[in-house]
Order: sequence, then C-alpha cells, then structure tokens
Amino acid sequence: MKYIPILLTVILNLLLGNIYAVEGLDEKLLKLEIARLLEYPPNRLLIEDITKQSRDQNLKSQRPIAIEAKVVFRLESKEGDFYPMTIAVSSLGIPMLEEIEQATKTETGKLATPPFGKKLLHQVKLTNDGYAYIIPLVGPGGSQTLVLARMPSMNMDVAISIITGRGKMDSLKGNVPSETEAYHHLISEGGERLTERLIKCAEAIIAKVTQTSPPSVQQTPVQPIPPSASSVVSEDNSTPSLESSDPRPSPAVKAEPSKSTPWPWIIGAILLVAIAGGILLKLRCK
Amino acid sequence: MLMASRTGVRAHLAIKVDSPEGLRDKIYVGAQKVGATTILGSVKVNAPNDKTKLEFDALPGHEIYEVVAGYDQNGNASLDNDEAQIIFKKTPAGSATSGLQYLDKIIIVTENQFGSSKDTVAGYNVWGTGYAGDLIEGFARGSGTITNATTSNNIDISANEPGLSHPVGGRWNPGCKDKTYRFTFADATPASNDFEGSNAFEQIVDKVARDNLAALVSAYDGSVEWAVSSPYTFDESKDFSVSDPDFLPFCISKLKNAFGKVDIKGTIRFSYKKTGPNTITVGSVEMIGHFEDLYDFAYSGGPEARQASMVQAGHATLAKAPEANAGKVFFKRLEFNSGWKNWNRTYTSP
Repeated sequence: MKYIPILLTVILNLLLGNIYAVEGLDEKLLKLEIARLLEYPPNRLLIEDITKQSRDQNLKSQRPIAIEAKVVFRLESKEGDFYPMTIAVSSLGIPMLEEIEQATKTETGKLATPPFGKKLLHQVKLTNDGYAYIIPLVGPGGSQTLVLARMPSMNMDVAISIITGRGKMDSLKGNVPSETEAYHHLISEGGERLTERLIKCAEAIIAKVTQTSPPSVQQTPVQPIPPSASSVVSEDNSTPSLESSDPRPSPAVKAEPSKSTPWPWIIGAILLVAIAGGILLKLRCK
Repeated sequence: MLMASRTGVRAHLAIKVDSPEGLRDKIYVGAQKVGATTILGSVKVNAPNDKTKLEFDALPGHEIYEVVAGYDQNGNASLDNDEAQIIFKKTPAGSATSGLQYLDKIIIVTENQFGSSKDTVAGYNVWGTGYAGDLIEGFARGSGTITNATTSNNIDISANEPGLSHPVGGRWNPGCKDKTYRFTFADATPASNDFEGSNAFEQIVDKVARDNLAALVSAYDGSVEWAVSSPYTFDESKDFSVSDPDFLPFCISKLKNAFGKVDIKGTIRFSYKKTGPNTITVGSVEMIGHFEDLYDFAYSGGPEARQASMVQAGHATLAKAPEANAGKVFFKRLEFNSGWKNWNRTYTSP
C-alpha cells in the first residue's frame, strides 16, 4: 500500500511525459570531465553505479526518486582519499528533499518565505532559465555540500552531493598523496571556489545529457545571499574551462524527455476511446 | 593548539621552558609563521616552573604559527630571525598521527576571523538542513534554545571532557571547569524519528536478537503464540557516517552530520515465536533508549568544521553579548521510544 503514492506519481509523470530518458550517458567521459574540474587524477577515480541501492533506500523512505532517477552514481578514489561525490540526474522537481522542494516551488526566481529561523537557500542563476541551489549541511559528524542545478526548460534536475569533511572522524588530512594535493586543497579551502567547481560539474553533466553547450554561470546571484561560503560564483582562471578545446569526442548520448514520445498521446487516445465507448454503451442501455 | 586573541590580533602565549640556569638570561622564545623565518615577537625565558609570557601580533589572513627558541647571540635583548635554533615540538618527529598534524602548531583566531566565521557558520542553517542546521546556528549564535529540543542548564563540563577535540569552547575556571547546557530531542521529534528509521536502529535490533537468541529460544514456552521477551539492555557504539551514509543527494543523513559517532544505550523487547529448534521469528520490536554526545568541532574536520572550530576557539575571549555564548560547546541528547514496531525477521543459529 505504501508504494501506491509513488506508483501514482510515476504513472502521472508518464502520462505527463515528465520522465527524463537518459540513455547511453558515457560515464567514463563524464568522470574525466569531473576529475578535470576537481583537479583529481582521473585514473585514480572509481565510478560506481548505485542506482539500485539508491532506489532500494528511497523505496524504503517512500521517495519518488526511487523509480524516477535515471543516473545515480558515485565517484570515489581507489585509495579512498577522494571524498565521495554522488550524482543524480532526474526530471524536474520530483526527487527533492521535501524542504528544498518547498523552497523552490514558487515562481521562477522567487523563493517562498522561509520558515522561522531558516534562511533562504543560496541560489545562483544560470543562463537560460536555470538555477543552482547550494545547501551546506554541517555538524560535528561531518559536512557536505549539495548543489542542485535545476533546468526548467530542459525539464531536468542535476544534483551533486560531495562530502567535504568527516568531522572528528576525518582520517585523510596529513596523509594526502602529492598528486592529489590540488584536489584536497580545493576541498579544504571550501567556499566559493569549490562551489563554483561543483556548479561547473553539474553543467558538464547537463551538457553531456543534452548534447548542447553547457550554460555558463552568471556572475551575479539573484538572491540576497548570506555571507557564508559557497554563495557567489566567480570566475577562476585557474580552472580548466569547459569551453576549452577538448580533443575528446562527444559521448554517445541519447537523451530526450519522453515528451517527444507518442506515449501520452496514445494513452490519451485510448482513454478517450474508452470514455466514448462507455458513454455510447450507456446510451444504448437506456 | 587552537586559541584566540583577547582582542584584535594580539596573541598571548604562556610557555614553560626548561633551560639551564647559567644561560637563562640569554635564552629567548619567539613565534614565527610556519614556513617563514621572521620572528614576530620574542621574550626572555623564565625559570622552568614560572611560565614565560609571549605576545605577538597575528598576521593578516589565517596563518599557523610555531614557537621557536634560541640564544641571543648579539645581546640585543630579542630573538633575531637567524638566532632561532629550536622549533617547539610536543610530539617526537615523525610520530604525528593522521589528522593531528596541527598538534605542535599554534592556530590563532583573531577578533575579525571570529566574527566572520561566526556569521558563516550561522549561515549554514538554511532550508533543508533541519535539526542539523538548527544545531549549528545555535552553536554559532550561542542560542539557549533549539527548535524541537528542550534545554537543561548548568551541566558540568571540563577542558579535558572525553571527545572534546580542542580544549576550547568553555570559559574554564582555574580547575578547568565550566557550566554548559544540554539540548534534548525527545521521542517523536524529527531527530528521534530519523533515528528510529535508521540503519543503526536496525543493526542494533539484529545484534541484540542474535546475541540473545539462545535465551529467547529457551524462554519460549508456547503458552501464547507470540511471546513478549524481557527487556534486553544494550550499549552500542554507532558511527552514523558508516551505518547511515548518504545514498543520494536527496537522501541526506542529518543524523550523521548532527551526531556523528555515539554510544547508544537502552532496552529492547521482542514479540516473537519459536519457529524451529534454534529459530525464532520476531514479529515486532520495542526499543527505548537514548544517546548523548558533545557538540564541538575539530579544526581538521573539513572547511566547514574548521570555521566552526574557530568560533569555538573564540568563545572564551571574543564572544560578547548578546551572543556571549557563541562557540560554547554543549551536549546534545536524543531520546527514543519506538513503541511496538513491525519487524518480521527470522533469526537462527547454526
């Protein structure tokens, strides 16, 4: 019984054509791209598809993403010195933390009034109609940053979560291999520079999924932003740009919203025929 | 060593120096930035039992310092850059363990750094962060109340409290004691509900069932189909970052961030029936208990934890009204009473 709301959500999204079809996303190329942005040696990164575990976990918590998310994987290092990063791609608005969904539900560019004691999400405008939301989660047990890139025109959400600290459990500091120093510096520095890279990672994923050029991040945030880390995206010339001439071929990506498939029309037609048939049958019975 | 200025950028250190009496008038201690040779301040050492007070101005930017010592060769009553011969080390060379690379160094938090870190850390309480966000803002602002938690005051704490990463976060009296508060998340609060739905909860139930399987089998007399066991006590250490990791960006474990590693204590009762010679099926379980931990930060725990640890360092000297408790370490407690919870698992011994 408890899965009925999830199934109904999925059926509704099928009918509305909201399920995003992401097929053939070349994870290896994506890994290269992300490794480049985070200045980590790609040959030392592991990519793990955790779609199934994520679905199981979320079915348990009755989250619609259990069925809806199409690409969910983690990046880790072979040696364990890369703070794990989890990436998920899904259609717009389905797979959110409840609270974040509440905050982002309102009109484009305008956030709902936050509940007492809570601040607005850190929000950065992307080009097109996209926004990136930055949510830090911090405590003695560790900290992580969640970046959610939301692209209404593409009907897509890309979410990246990276663990930036393990709190008192931290076991990496003081034992950083020299070839990964740049990455660890990026993480340990935190703040705007890390946030900027994470947003670029999200854009890289969007680009790979849609086979379009990634939108660039605008310099000015659209919301008054608390003076915390990770709020304003600024240009960093040291970052290898996504627009730089990369000799690698584009990945073979077949990605399109199922809005373009005829299923909704077919289902709609079947429903119409059924309704019309029912009415005719009733009339004949009379 | 993490410490804060009393005001502005002026750092005050108290050092015990073991020095030969005949040469003591010429031996000086000073401070320098790690990786640099400029002596920022120096003073002649006192007798070993008399603390030597060293003052210097911290440099702009967040720098890490070390204490050096040397012989005043030119007799100018100060330690010159080329006179520093010894770098203070508490640990023998090469033995610093992972995560403790700052052990021998001095980290100074200035008044400005304290203020900016406090605002940054309070700003972590954004939508979506739930009680984890409430706790960290409460820590940064020194709030006496937290949403969904009750506050108990006048709880004893000491500078060497187990689990306290740095001996800062209290206004220690000469006995190194202070009073702090405890925030309790009672049963049925969001934090408590998170725990009752956690993997850690499941793991404890499974472990207690297996550990007591023989007793449960033996106690089953068949007088009723579903027997209710006596309460079994447990005391289990759980690291939520291991038991309840984040599977998705959408499934963030607030429990992990807010509580980290804890010792969970309580009792479990099983409603079960014997389904084989060495097998029981548990239909439902009831777990009642609590865990309590210190809310403090380690400087080496990541960029956000570092900011929070700087607020903690400044609590004693830099926190002022109306946020006089900013950076004060406190206890947080979570209580749970699951009621009878459907379980439907079978436990068997070989």
